[in-house]
Amino acid sequence: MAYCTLGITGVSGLIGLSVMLSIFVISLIFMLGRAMRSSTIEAWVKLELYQVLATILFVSGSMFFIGIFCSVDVTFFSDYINLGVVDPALIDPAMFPVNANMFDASSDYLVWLQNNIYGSSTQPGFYLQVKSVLMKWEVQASKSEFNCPGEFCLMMPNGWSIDPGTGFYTKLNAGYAALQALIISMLSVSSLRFMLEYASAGALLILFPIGAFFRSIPYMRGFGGALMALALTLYLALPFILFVNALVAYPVITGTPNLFAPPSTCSSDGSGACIVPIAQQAASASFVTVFLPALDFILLAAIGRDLARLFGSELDLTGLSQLV
Amino acid sequence: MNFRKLAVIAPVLVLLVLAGCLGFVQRDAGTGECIGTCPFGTHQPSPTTCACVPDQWSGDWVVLSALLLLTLIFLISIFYMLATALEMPYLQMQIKDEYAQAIVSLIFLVALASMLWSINNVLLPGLAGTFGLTLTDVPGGSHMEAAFDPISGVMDPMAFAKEYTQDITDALSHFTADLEGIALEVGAASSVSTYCQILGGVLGFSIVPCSYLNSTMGTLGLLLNALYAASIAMWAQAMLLKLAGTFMILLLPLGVLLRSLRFTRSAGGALIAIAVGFYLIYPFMVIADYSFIKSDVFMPDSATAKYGYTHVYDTAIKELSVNHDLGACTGDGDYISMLTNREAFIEPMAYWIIIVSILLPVMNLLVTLTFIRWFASAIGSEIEVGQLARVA
Repeated sequence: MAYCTLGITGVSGLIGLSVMLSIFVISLIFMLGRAMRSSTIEAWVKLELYQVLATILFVSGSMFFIGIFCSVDVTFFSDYINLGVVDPALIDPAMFPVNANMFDASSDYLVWLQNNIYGSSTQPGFYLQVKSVLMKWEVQASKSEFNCPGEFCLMMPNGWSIDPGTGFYTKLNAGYAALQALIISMLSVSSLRFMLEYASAGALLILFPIGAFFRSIPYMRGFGGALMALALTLYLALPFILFVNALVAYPVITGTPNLFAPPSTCSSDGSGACIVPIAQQAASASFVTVFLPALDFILLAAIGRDLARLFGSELDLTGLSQLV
Repeated sequence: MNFRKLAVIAPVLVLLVLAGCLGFVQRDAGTGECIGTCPFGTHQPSPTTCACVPDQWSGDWVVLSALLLLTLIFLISIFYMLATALEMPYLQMQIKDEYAQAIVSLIFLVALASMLWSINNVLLPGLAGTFGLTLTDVPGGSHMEAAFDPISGVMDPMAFAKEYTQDITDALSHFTADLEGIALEVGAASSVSTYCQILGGVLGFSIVPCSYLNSTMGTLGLLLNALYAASIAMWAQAMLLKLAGTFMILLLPLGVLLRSLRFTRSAGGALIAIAVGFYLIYPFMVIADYSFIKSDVFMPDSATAKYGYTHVYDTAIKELSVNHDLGACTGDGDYISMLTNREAFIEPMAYWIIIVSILLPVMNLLVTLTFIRWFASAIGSEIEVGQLARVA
């Protein structure tokens, strides 16, 4: 599960080290400038020193916001969010554990989504329900019956045969299309989970310290700022947006009919009108796992761009949305 | 208004509003239960909801947004006081700029609330007759009747869009269920093989008398695939309409807040554009769909309704029963003539599936995304919605 803490990453030490290194390099250059009696180098060094100070300020501010972010208890928000909407509730109050932060909440949401789309040990999800119906259809389609109504069948077999489930072949294509959509949904949820893991581990442990380091080095400032912006976007904005997704997705998933429970017209043996409820499940899953993440990446790109400007750089995250 | 006066008024207002909802009831970290009681004038929405809210504003996006803006002005005021105390004129200038952005957001909020109020209370009642959107214009027995106020007759646009989508979804469900039943009957009938063997199996014959029905199975499969795609599109439309209110309550206040901050302005603008697009433009487009197709699909008389109301193509799918009686097919003639009838079946189904259920929902989404892109740009945010359009 993705985690949210500053303690275990050793990020402060890494950043402190990089700043000290930058000051060391600048001091050396300053001494060189003095030795050469170059006022240009001395002025440049002063400018660079300001940039190192700015980096320290940016990093301190970022750590402050990350600290606040990690200490947020989302159950507070989920209680408030449910106030105005009674039917259907935006979210199950018991969905998030007490004292869950944004990373806990977004991880829980993605696990909940996987359970609903694929299935859990207690209840089959959309994928397992559709797969079950398709298996029944395949068996029904292969069924043959023979009938010899006469009394002398052994001697003179006269009768007829029928494949009563031949019509199921016409429904199979629609069913497999739904199954394909559900598999894509499952892949999407899994990739979001891995992205969240990457954000919780890689963003703060690797991208942010490297960004802070390069942000302090002359001529590498743009690169460093972009890395810091990317790290903060992934670490702060991604879990937050996934949490908002949870609020949006909950009524969609819970409002989608179970294939075998009323008011669905599909029976557990695959008989009845199954195509529409199957289509509804595929549509809900695609909506939550493809449409919403596409929307998320648009927002992440906007946040990343603004943050990069703050750090004096440019960042284009629009390529992330092509993942969808 | 003088900045200093507002700096005093904003925190007082914030404290007054927050006084009703914070701290009186909270969740016990150990047990997870709610502890505390709500003061007079507020209530706890449910036993599991650890919060007190004043009765008059819970769930209202306008008040939530205003509350967030007031909180922001409160914080800006604190920072301005600090900048003044530390004699930092450059910071003061920056803070004044942020203050101006917060005021712009507040003005936008008031304008949006006024516009929505005008649409619901003035524009729609005034133009309902012109656009054929009165209670007498919708077919009797349809879900859309429920979108009109029984006393004033004024239409709730969001409810109308939802009910219209529900009517189309219901009709599609009936079409699909009927065709599924017909496909099973036709498949069974076309597979019946009659055989006769004599002289211990030396001589005999077998025949599949209804095998010619197999030639129609491909058409049925194609139709069911198309209806599956149409059902997906209509369900997605229903979901978007269902979530439009949620977008407004969640995304708009958040967007207004983020737009007021310098470093999240772009993201805030995008959130506002998305919320407004799906709350205002999307339902409007769905209502326009109804105006576009109502004369082709809906009719006022419900006396002989098959799918809950009468429509022009009511006889598109007949009550058929294709069967077999050993060597003979029954009901096959009606079935074949239905399937090959261009005017009564092929064109109506193409209209229902391609135009009503796939093209129009996709167009609605594309128009909404176009609006979102334009509106985001207008309020200072550049977002790329091309990927969303591709998903659509």
